[in-house]
Amino acid sequence: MNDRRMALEIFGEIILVAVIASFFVYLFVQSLSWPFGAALMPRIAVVIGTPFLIARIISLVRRTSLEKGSILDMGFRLGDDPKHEARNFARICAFIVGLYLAIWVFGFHVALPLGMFFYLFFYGRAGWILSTVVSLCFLAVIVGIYDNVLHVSWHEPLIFSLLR
Amino acid sequence: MLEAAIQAAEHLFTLGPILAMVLMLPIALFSGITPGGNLPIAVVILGFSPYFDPWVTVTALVFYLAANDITEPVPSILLGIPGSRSAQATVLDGYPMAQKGLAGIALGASYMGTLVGGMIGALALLLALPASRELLKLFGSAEFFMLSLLGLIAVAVVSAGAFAKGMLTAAFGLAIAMIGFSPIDGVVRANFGIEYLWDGVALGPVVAGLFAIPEAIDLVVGDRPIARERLDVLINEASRDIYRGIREAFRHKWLLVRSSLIGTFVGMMPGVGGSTAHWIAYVQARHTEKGGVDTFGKGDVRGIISSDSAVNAVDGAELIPTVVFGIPGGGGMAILLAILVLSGVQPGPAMLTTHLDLTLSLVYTVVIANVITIPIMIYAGPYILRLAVMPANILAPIVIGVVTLAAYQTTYSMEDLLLVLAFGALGVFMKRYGWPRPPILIAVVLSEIVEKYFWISMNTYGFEMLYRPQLLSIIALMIVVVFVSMRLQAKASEAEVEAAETGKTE
Repeated sequence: MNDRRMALEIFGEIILVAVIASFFVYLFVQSLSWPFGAALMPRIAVVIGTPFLIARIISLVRRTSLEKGSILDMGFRLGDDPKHEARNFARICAFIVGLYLAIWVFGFHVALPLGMFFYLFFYGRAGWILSTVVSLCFLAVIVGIYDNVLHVSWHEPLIFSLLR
Repeated sequence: MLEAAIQAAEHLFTLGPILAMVLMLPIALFSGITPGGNLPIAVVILGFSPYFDPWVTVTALVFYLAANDITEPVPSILLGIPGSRSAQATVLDGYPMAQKGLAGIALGASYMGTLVGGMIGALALLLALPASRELLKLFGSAEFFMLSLLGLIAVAVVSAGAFAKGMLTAAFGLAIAMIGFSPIDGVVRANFGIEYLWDGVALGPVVAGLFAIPEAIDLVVGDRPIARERLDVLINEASRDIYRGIREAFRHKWLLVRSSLIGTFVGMMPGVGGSTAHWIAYVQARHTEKGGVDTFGKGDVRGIISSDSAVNAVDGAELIPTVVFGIPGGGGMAILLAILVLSGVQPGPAMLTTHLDLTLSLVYTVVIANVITIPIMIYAGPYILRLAVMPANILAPIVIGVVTLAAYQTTYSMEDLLLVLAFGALGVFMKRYGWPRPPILIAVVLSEIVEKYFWISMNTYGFEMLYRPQLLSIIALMIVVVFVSMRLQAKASEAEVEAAETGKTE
């Protein structure tokens, strides 16, 4: 693995470690204002985790430990074309974020079926029929099960408040 | 016990649980053959658990998990693509056999191996129950606290394969689980000023984000198209000689039993599970069977028999620590625990007294799943594969849509989806850098129990609880479990590396 790639690898894991460290700090500082009963277990968690966090940071800084994963975690399946894989990764992540944004703005009844159709038709190359069938299946589940059986109360889509 | 066994049957064979099994069967058949793991569907079942009787949801989940494991070897054998971590060893011998036109024999041996393994695992669960009842009478709040805490640590360390990383993940998981109301004095903790987090992080969005989203992303990132013409040939070949494969499995009956017992033993250890069990069984078979060192990895049916019987034996065995001690061995079991807790059924002693019938129903469910699924797979397995082998860019968005709906069922607010996104980002990072994710899930499930028992123990015994012989025994046992588990894992890793070096893995 060349130096640039290794630096990228370490940088990514440093972000993860930074998130954990930030949360530990936040939790500990907050616990100072809680009664003893509420503060005890959070402090124990932070106290147990901190030495291992420091050890992990040190190993990252020294670049002594960059194991890819253990037997129980397959890691992402990476092949011979990193650019293609990066494109796929960006596309699916954009789809997820876009879908959730659309759900917030337009609601489940519109966003989920249309989002499915959009992705299946344009990226999945599923064709009109399959894309439409899957979209209609989602709509049927939303209306048939969630509306009529479970009587779910949906959030108000943003578009409604904008149009008012 | 007999009365509970009869009650279990009376409850299980009613409309609700039967419909649940009928519904879960095609879903398990389909999802076991497709990559992506079993947790997305488990999340959906979790989402519906507040609406249904625990007999229905628990039956649905256990049936689904058991049936799902049976179908996982099919893509490993026919396509050389393991459907999960637990099917990797099957590829080593199954795929070469398929390439030689012996796919039917490979599948038949796999089905019989999984059937026998599943039965032995269920039997182990049944036999463990009376002994566990007596053991639990010795335990108090201090012991349950230590069991839960050490169970979390064991899962973390074993699933990480490294002590420091595992401990850090366990502590992080516990810290995340502290968000929300304190069960001790009702103070709202670490909620970032967000009202949604007053009740803590909900399990549905956590599972959807940590597990389902990264797996869906992985499907798309690692997508490899499959030649459909080759698939047609394989399916035709796979339909032949299945009964020859079944006879082959019985020809190696002692290997079958031995591997099933390995799976049972490994399954009882928290955090280890099928992904290690199948490698251990494979390695032991390779070194103990006549000529195994020369023939394993080149299309030896014994390789399939050993690995698949061990994997399926785990299904019953891993219910023992989950249900009896409240220590889930992995993601699926953590969700089972969550469903039990949401349904008002406390894992632990109550599962062997008040709810013994529910516990026994789990045994029946595992057996039923095996007995029903195997014949279906014998006749229809390869044809199901034709349906299930769909491009990742079609499967992934469907998985994302399904888990999004399931996660939204938590509080029916957009904050559920924001939580999915947050844990999704965390899950992607953790998967990418090899950090174990199950400890966070298990910490969220166990945190309230751990904290409550800790508080009760401190108020009852103070620090003298550390001198209780039962507690010290648990600590010693857990150290042994973690040590043995990590040794087993190291052996499994060596087997995996050896297989990769001989060029047999993809």
